[in-house]
Parts: sequence; structure tokens; C-alpha cells
Amino acid sequence: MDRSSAPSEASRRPGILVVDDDAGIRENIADLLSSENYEVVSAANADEAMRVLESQRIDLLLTDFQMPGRNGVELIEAARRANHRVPAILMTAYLYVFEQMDERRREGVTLLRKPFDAEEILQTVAEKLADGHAGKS
Amino acid sequence: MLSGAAIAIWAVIGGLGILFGVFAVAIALQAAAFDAMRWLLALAIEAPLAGGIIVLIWYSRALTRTTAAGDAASSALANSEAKYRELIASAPDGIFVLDPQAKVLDVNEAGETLLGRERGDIVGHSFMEFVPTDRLASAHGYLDDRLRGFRATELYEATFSTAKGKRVHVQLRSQVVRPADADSYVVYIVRDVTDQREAQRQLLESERWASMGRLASFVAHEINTPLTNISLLTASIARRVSDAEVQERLKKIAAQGRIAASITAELLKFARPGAINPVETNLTDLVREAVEQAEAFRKPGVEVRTELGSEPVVCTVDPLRIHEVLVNLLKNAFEATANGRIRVRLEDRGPSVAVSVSDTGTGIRPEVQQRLFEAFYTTKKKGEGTGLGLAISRNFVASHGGDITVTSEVGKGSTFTVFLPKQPVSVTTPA
Repeated sequence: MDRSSAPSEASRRPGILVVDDDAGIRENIADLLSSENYEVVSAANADEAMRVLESQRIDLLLTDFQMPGRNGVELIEAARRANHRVPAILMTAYLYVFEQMDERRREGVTLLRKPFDAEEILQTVAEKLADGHAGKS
Repeated sequence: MLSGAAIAIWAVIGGLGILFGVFAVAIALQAAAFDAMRWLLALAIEAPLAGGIIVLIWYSRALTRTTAAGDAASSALANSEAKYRELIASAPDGIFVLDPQAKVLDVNEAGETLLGRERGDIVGHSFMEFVPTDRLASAHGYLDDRLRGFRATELYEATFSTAKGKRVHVQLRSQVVRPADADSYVVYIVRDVTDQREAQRQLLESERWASMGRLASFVAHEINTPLTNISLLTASIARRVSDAEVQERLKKIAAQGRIAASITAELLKFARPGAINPVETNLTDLVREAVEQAEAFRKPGVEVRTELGSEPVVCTVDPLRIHEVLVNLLKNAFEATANGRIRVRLEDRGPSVAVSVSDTGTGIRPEVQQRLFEAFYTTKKKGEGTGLGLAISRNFVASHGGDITVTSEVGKGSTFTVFLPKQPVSVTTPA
């Protein structure tokens, strides 16, 4: 579990949990999102991610699909079962993964197709957080 | 039935009988002038005649008995010959009897069917007339080897051409027969394995597609992660430096990354076409949109003509996938045509629809046509195509229960036609 920035500030920055077994992806996404003033925590697998969800406030879950152990869809389902209504972005090259999820499971999940570039991920994250906030208010 | 010998014997008996009768009458008439000498004479003539008649009758009966036995034997032989003929005639395999020079001496019904020719067009002809030119040397070699006593146990695979020019794949066994009192001959027993061969080929091909799909999926997925990293790192540098020249080069890196990404996306589409999502779609509009989108590839001297009919054609298809198929076909047509015309025609055929894209472009050579829908087969220059477009299109159309066909002539142009059922048939998606 690596922490890219301090957990708290006067005006709370949106907390994003990045889950990917590839260290390069974790670092590069964290680097990019931090530079856009998000607070980023990362995890290498679903178990680590669940521990983060239990211990701190996360506004957005950004997870890879294919990982050793539980995959991204299973992580999202585990988070839902543990009552974390956190919106999620599923990063995958396998479009069918998303197509095959039933609608109930797809709820609150956005697909980010790999490979993606900086603009795509920033836009998807911004939209997802805006949706989330709109939903809460 | 009386034999010739029996008739002759009965004729002699008849003759002797008449003589006997004549003498008997003569003797009776002369009874008044009876004397011992006449009696003696009558006895001397009539007795041998009667004896002869008796002996001949006995002989004739014996002869008749022998002939009857002979008749029975020959009719049994005829029966068994008929049985063998029937057996050969009804054999499911083609049977050809050849002389050592390959002239056909006899053929059964299955052999006629196999070659699609009448018996009269086979018997008396050289067997080699039915072998395609490219297989002649091998066919001659096999016959020569067999006559010299080699390759006795070999199941020889051969190809025939039928009267209609169709090629038939066969498995052939043979037996050389060398009768003591006649010329040698060769019996070919030929089984049509065209259907089995086709089934086998399809099975191999589907296995090949499946493994290629797995490979494509693996490669695409493994490449996507480093590609994402390259792209994110490029963006990270771009945010930190202000040098215009560096920015320019970073843009080029990003552009190359996008090209690589589009290739992996194609690979994944091919690897896993996924389940289709059919909805009621106005195909006429879909075709029109595809034509508009592909317009970007049109060269200035090319005219586009659409024949979409007066009524909109509605069918249940996955609009995204069929749109992609049509754009792909149109793009190919535009690329193949420097000058001339592209015609897009939509035909309502009741339970199905046909969309054809014809061009007056370069045309496709027959050997290329055969491989056109193979994945990774491309005639385009390096970097201009992945060789997946038509493979993906065929997969998409096949998952609707449809098909794509092509007709083409070099120098004249090509027509690709997509056939789709109006209601999707449940089909298994290719792996």
C-alpha cells in the first residue's frame, strides 16, 4: 500500500483508490491524479484494496480487471457487500467483461478501456466524481 | 430343354420306328404267302430295329438325366455370378477393374456416381482421364508401383475430377489379380472422402481460429498495460516541461501510442467478438450512415451510388457491429478504387436481407480471394492494415447467423455481399 499524499487537508480532496497489479500503472496514475489535486491511495490486489476501504474514506474506486486473486469485478462486488457504495471505474481491455455483467452489478460502474491516455482517465474520473456528488446531494 | 444330341437321338428313334412299322405292315400283308424264309427275314429285320429303338430310348433317357444335372449346375453358377454382380453393383465404394495400361474394363454403380459419368463414358476409357492434370504423375506412379508389387497395404489418397469439373477426394485401395490362364488386371476400390475431408478441415480451422483468438487476446492484453504506461508517462513529462520541441516529440510518441492501441483493440475484437446485442434496427438508415462515415476514404474520381429501395428495411441486428462491418467493406472498396464507381445496394429478401458493396476497382486475384477472410492476411502495405478487418467482419456477421461472400474479377472490380437473417438465429459465437 503506498500513499501518495497526506490524508487530510483543510478542504478535503476527493480520495481515489487505485488498484492494479502493475506497479507502473499504480505509480503513473497516482502521479497524474495527484497532480490534479486528488488524494490517491493505491493497492496491488483486491485484499489490499478491501483493507483500504475499511480504514479510510474513499470517493472513487479505480480498479484493474485482471489481477492475481480476486478480479476487479469481484472486488467491486465485495465492496458493495461490505456496504461501500463507492462509485467504481473498471479498467480493462476485455470489453466483454463489462458486457457480461448484469445490469444490477453494472450499477455505478464505468468502464475505462485499456489502453487509455491521460486525458481519457482524467475525464472519466472527473465525470464519475461529479455524478457521485450529484447523486449524494 | 432338350440338347442337340437328344434331338438327334429322338430323330433316329423316330426313323427306326417308321422302318419297324413299314416292315411290320409288309410282313402282315404277306401273311397269306407265308413261308419260313419270310418269317426269318422279318425277324432278322424287325428284331435289330426294335433292339436299336430300345437301346436308343434308354440312352436318350440317360442323356436327358445327365443334361438335367448339368442344367442345374450351370443355373447355380449363373445364380452365384448374379449374386456377385449384385454385390459389386450395390457396393457403397466405387469399384474399377483396370487392365495394366489403366484402361477401365468394368465399373460398378458407385464408381459411376463418384465420377458423375455414365458407364459408357468410363468403360473402355483410360482411368487417367478422370485424374486431374496435377495428380497424373502420382496416379501413374501408384499404378506402376502396384503392378510391380509395391505399396500393397497403402491407402492411397487421390483426387478425381467429375464430369462437371468438381474435384472429389478419394481413398483408394487396390488389388492386382494375376489369373493363370488370362491377363493380369487391377481392381481399384475407391471411397469418396470429400465430405469427411471437408468436416476435418472445418474442425482444424475452428481449432486454429480458437487458438489464434487466445493468442491475440493474450498479446493484446499484455501490450495494453505497457501502452497505458507509455501514454501516462508521456503525459506526465508533457506536464512538467515547457520546451516546444520536447512537447512536439511527446505528441508524436502519443500518436504512435494511439496507433498501437488501435491495433490491440482490433486484436481483441477478433479474439472475442463477444455476444451480439440485437435490437430492431432500420437497416436503410444504418447503411446510409456507414456510407457517410466511409466517405472520408473516397478518392476524388470516385462516384458513390446507393440503391436502398423505397421502403425502409427493418431487421433485428446489433447496429454497432453491422455498422462496423459495412464501414469496413466500404473502406476497402474506396481503397481499391482510384477512379470509377462504388455501388451500395440493399435488398429485402423476405426473411433475410442482402447488402452488397460493389466497386469498379482493381479486383482480387482468385488465390487472394481464397484467403481474404483469414485473420492477419493482408495485401496492404505494412502499417496500413492489420489483416483483421474482414476476419472480424465475418465473425460479426456469423454471430448474427449470416454470411459474407465475395465475387471479383481482376481489373473489373469486386462485390462483397452481406447476408443477414431479419431475426437473429441463435448461434454460438466463435471463441
